[in-house]
Amino acid sequence: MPLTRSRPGFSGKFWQNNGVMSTSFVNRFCPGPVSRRSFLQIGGFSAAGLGLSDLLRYEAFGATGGETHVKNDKSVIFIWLPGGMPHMETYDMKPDAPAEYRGIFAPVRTNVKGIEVCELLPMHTKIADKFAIVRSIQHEFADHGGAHKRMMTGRLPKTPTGTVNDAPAVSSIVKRVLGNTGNGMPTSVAAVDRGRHGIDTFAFGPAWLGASQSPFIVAGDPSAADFKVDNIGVKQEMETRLDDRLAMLHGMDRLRRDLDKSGVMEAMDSFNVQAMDMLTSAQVRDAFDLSKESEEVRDRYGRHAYGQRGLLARRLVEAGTRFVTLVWENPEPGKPIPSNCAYNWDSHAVNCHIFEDCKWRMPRYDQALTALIEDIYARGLDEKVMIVVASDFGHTPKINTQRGNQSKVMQPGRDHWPKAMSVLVSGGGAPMGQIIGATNAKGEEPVERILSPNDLWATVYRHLGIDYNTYLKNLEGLPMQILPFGKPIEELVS
Amino acid sequence: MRLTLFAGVLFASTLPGSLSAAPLTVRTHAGTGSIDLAGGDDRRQVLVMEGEHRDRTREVRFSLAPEGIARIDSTGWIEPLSDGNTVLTVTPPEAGATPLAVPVTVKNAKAIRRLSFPNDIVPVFTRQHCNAGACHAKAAGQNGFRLSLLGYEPDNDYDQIVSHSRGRRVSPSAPESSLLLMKASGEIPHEGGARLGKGTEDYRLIQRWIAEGLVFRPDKDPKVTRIEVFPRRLVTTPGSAQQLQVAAWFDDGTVRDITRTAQYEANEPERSKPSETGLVQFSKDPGGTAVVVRFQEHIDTFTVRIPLGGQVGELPAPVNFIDEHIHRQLTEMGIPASGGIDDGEFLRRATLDVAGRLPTLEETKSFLAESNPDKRAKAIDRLLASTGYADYFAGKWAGILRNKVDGGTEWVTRDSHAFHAWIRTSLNENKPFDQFASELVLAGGKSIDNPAVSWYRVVQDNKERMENLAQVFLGIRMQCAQCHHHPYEQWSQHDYFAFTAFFSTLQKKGVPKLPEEDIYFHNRKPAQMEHPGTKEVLKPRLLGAAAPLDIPATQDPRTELAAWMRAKENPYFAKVLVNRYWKHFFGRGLVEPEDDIRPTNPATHPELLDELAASFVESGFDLKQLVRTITNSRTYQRSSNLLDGNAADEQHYARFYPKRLPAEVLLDSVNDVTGSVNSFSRQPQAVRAIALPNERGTIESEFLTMFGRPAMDTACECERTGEANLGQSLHLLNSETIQTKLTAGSGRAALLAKATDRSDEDRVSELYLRALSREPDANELGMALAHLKKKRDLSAADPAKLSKEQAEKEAFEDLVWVLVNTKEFMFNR
Repeated sequence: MPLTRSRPGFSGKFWQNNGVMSTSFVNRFCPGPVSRRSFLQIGGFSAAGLGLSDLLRYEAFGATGGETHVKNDKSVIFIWLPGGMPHMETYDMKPDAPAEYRGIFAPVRTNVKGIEVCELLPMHTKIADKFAIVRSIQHEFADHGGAHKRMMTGRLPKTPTGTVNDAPAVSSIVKRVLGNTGNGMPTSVAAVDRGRHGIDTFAFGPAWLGASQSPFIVAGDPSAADFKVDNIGVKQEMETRLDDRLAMLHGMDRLRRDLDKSGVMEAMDSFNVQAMDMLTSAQVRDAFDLSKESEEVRDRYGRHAYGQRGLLARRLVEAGTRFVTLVWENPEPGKPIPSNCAYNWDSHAVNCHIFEDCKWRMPRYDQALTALIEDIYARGLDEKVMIVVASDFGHTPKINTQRGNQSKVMQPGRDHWPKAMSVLVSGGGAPMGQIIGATNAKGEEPVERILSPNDLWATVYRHLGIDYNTYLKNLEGLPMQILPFGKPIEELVS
Repeated sequence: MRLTLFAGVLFASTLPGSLSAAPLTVRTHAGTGSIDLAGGDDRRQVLVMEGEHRDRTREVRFSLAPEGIARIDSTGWIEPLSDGNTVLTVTPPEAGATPLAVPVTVKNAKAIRRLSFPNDIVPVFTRQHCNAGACHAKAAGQNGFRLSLLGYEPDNDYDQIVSHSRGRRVSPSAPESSLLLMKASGEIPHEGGARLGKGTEDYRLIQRWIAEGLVFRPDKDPKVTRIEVFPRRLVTTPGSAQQLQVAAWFDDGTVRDITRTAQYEANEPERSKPSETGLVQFSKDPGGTAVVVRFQEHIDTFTVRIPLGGQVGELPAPVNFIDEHIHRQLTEMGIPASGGIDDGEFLRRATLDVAGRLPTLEETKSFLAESNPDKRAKAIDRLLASTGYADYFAGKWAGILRNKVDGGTEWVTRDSHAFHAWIRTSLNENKPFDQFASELVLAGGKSIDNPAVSWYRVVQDNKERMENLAQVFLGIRMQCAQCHHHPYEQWSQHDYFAFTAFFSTLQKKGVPKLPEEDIYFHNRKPAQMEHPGTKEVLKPRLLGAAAPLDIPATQDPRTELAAWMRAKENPYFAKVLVNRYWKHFFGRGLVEPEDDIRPTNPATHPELLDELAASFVESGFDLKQLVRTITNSRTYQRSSNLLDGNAADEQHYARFYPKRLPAEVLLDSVNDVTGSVNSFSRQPQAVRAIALPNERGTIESEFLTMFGRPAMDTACECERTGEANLGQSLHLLNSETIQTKLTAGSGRAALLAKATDRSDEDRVSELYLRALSREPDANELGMALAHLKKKRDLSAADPAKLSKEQAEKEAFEDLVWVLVNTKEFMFNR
């Protein structure tokens, strides 16, 4: 293979135009009932079959030497808790640890013998047979930036701070390797709070894979009355104008596509078709439309950002999206945050009173996550969909008391702790109702089954049918393994 | 470059009465005449060529008489059997053709040499891709078995096979049950599949080596000094194939045929497909390409050209040497050239390429009206003198010189502005390029006094400094050689670290909390770098130089580096620059990628590249003169329209290849057509996107990110991508940003809608001139007028729903939308 592909885009070979543009456009001044799609289909190319995904696949596999990906319809819902879920207030309780470690909450039993969770998660106790908890993942990056990059990319970041990726995030790699869904649904979606929706806020950057592999961003609180997804659906009057515009474009955009042997012109046409699908397809619009759900279902998930984002994720994977990232930060962006609570899970004492924050945040978390898990199982999607809940790191096992910036009073908190964290996995056809790994008596570091974030990603890739030994070329043309090390967590391999 | 090898070929035998167009020659690596096999391991690829360019090896019939001395298969692979003399008869398939007779002698057939691990076994791993970066040469190996990349460290590989895994990998007493062979042949599960079939030559070789007792190097095992492929250059027909012949020269004076042990790699797999045995199948498309042949760390390159063989017709008189070279090759390749462009097309193309913007309405009108025959050359001069030129090219250089703020302080931001201004000023006053590069390399002191020192602020690691310098100014990608011998080049780790040593005395004296006071200086000590493998301390050595330099501690070693770089005879410096600029104007480099110039990646027009580089040196490294030379050529001013005969051309400039407008140019052009301006933080209001100094603009602007403006993370132009993506479509078709530009009260659509004193035709024409530098044709005008009428009719039918004014405005908005969404707008064609 040459060290670098000379053409970064699509090779012309795959975009051979069958001829010149259609001349069957009889009455060009009055388009009549011609579909929008056909306005954008110029020449022999049609996006209907979406050869595009096949092409991307071809390129992705080019470097591996052997194709071992399995074509399937599996998907992942990746729930990200920025700031770090406190493992000792959730899934790794240490009731016997000294008081300055264990905190104030008690563990409670679940429907699976041996699995206990925090008392703030009562709904979890009924479905412990539908999730597995990994207590032994760790890494070495204690700053949010480094930890985000470490977790999101499955690589050791070049710098320990900052959230601009130097290697692509897994959500982009999945998009690149799996290609298009073929029905207008974006392959990779990330749902985040508005104002936090920049590609680099949570190290979602596609780095050398290029902007084309960024996830489709859904910004805003889906529980808000005025929630609207950018780039999905257009207003009625705009739709009419778009029709006019497309009809004119069809008539005026007559440059021969075969002038451009790089295939970029053809690719632009095909993306225009796809974009119009996203903008106007009823199926796509519906997938993003939570009002299609019953009030009961919406209530069960919870009328807050966590719950409605969870419901959105379920609708998206049903419609064909393969990788949904949900960022759960502020559960209720429309309301003021209590002064002793934090925007997200970064529960230092200066940010919040960790126990008060848990009391405020956890019930919503409990409600949203269990609703999603139950719903996935009830709909028989538990083989198809794998839910993963993770965060940048755990929190210091030892409680630290300081004056809160907002509350202005001394209050307990926990700091960054990458040596230990808890990760929850549900569905994906994996064996559930189990605890994997263990931390020591004070919750400080794993003592059993020490795992890295990469083992988690290897498990995820395996579920998606992606060979995690795949190589993709970076800008220098060097083949980069999509996951440089790590292997699937055995206990989660069905 | 050596003389073409065809010169040494003698005819094996005369063939009177042959039906062939040219005489056949029978050849092995040792030449023509007789075939002398010495020793039981002396195998050869026999090649039967008709003339110089047609391979007939697989069409002729081979036979040997008497039998029992040697054997040959249908692919021309000959092996010794026993000592003696025999005759190889080569029978052409044509009826009545006279066969050729070649004497064959075999000596010492019983003498089998002991196999050598580096010379015989490692090449098998390379051929079979066992030691590819994706397999066992991964940093962690594969499944516990790790080989060095492409076998560059045979000692390590030997150790892995013989000593690791408790010796289970090889079993001399029962070679077939060695894990190495069982895995490789797929007898037991192997993730990489069955690579070596039992009984294949490669399998038997490894089997024999194991049985011989796992010798690393037998006594007097020679080392390879060079390899050579035959033929090296070929001109052939589309869809044909060529058997290659590869020989290795050893330091004991011996030569071996390594056709079946070398590795073949196509530079462009869609153009040629080499087989494991060196048979290269060419695609049906005309053009040129290359196959890299590799054996151990040695490489050679086979290049092929496949003419289209069409009617070229008359070519216009050349304006300068560019046209002469291009026309000569078009003639040789038989590809007809498209015609020249008209004035409107020229003005749009040149303005976009030289000044990074669309021509203004006024410029277009006056240029079209001008009758001076020199007007194109004059326009180029005007553009070169304009600020647009300096802005546009400063942006290009700021990108590859990585003028990054990277979330830095206010001071870093100011610093990046100063660096950008330094680049821009240098270009504007047309500072000789060698001086520019030299000032950059020698930069020292405080950034506040010398903005060029910013380069060292952004690129802090000495290895990375060297890599960036090599890629940007020499067109050499040294990155690979940091860890192992470069797979496509002569460069070794030794070269890498000895070249890095030029930066080893560069130090920064930091002032806490006053970063603007940081001083970069030459720390007076001898320059040196340690080789991480051998721990040898290396003195600075220039690339390609035999010996290191002795630089006294008092002298900054960078002065030697800069002097060497800008010397007229430097073989890299001018070449990569002119190639980089060529690509800017033509969309592809004479060497592609433009900053990866190496013997294994041959130029499409080597003589043109040489002459362009020489003329650049001759001009005193005058960048504006280079732009003039390129843009005044007929080649640059050729139409992009297809002719029947040149549709398939992708590398001979038979027509102009349309290029996408780069992100910044597209954004500025959308602004110019919609009548809006940019607003970026820390920049003057209405700043043009091409004038943005650092990567901040990309981060701030979704548009620039989406359309591929680089984040300045690498010194590679490839970081800028012209790829299409969904986000771009969504953006142009329906984004808030575009909608705002279209509907602005002071925007183009609003202004045109209000200009009711002008005719519809006149207003539509203005839009076309602004966006496409041409008048609309009758169809386009008809559609535009029909749309205006449709909107007016809608308004007339229900003025309460759509007012007359609003209808006019919307109609023009729609027209502007359509124009910026046409490919003609988004491309420079």
